Amino acid sequence: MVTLVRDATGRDPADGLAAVAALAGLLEVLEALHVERARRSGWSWQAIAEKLGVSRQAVHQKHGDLDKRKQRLGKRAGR
Amino acid sequence: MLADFEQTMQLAAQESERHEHHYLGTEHALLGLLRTSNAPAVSVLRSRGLTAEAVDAELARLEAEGAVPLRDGGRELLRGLGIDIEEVVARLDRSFGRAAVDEATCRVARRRWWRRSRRVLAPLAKPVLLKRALELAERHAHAAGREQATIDDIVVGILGDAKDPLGTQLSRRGKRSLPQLDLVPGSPAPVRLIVEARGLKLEQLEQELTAHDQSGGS
Repeated sequence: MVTLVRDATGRDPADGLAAVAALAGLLEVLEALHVERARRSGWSWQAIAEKLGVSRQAVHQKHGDLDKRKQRLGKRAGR
Repeated sequence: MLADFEQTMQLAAQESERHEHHYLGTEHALLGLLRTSNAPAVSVLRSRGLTAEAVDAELARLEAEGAVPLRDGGRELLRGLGIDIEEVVARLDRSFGRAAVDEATCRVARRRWWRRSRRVLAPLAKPVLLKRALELAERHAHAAGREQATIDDIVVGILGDAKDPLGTQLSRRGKRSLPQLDLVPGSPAPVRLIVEARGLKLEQLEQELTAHDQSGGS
């Protein structure tokens, strides 16, 4: 963490902001992967939300498409 | 997806990875086809001097000139923060599998609520800039009475797309994302630069391919 702060403070704001954007993008992918794995393992939206420190509605709004996608794939497989 | 489209996408992905580029462009598709395909249109291009080796060398020249950006996508910036994105990707692949990582990246990049704000490309994402070329290929196939586009149609689509500047027919959102890839909307397409560097003209090549197609490839 000390290294991270030292690196970040010595940077140009443009580089710093671009780094934040890149980091945010990476975090979103990591979150999506872990939420999907949790749902597949039977975790409830409430349990996922608690771990992420957000509300159940917030996590469902963001990742709810996972369930819709699963339903779509299920319907196609059932045809 | 149709088999030839899928094959072209896979070849483009391989070439993009080999050149360490952070997007899939028509130049990668062209190079992949020149390396592997024996379709008549590809043979015509080879006979005119557009061999895989020549295109590979031209692409390397464009990289050196800065006309084609090398992969970064925030990687260097993240490295500055002590995050090695290659290592992250390797670990995610081991833990989740490549397909799951690609799918999650895609889902995040296409998430609807992101569209209201500036699109942030995840460092793992590899935007595909092949759609217009594939649409032109499909149109060319239909005009010739074929139901499905073949590799020959895809080659025509790639050349047709290269006649127009980068970003042609992209949405406002798409155009905004080009500078994030270090590509300049309105600049000549890399395929055009490659073809012209070999002393050829896109229009002339396109005419030759169409004539070859109409004569039944003889």
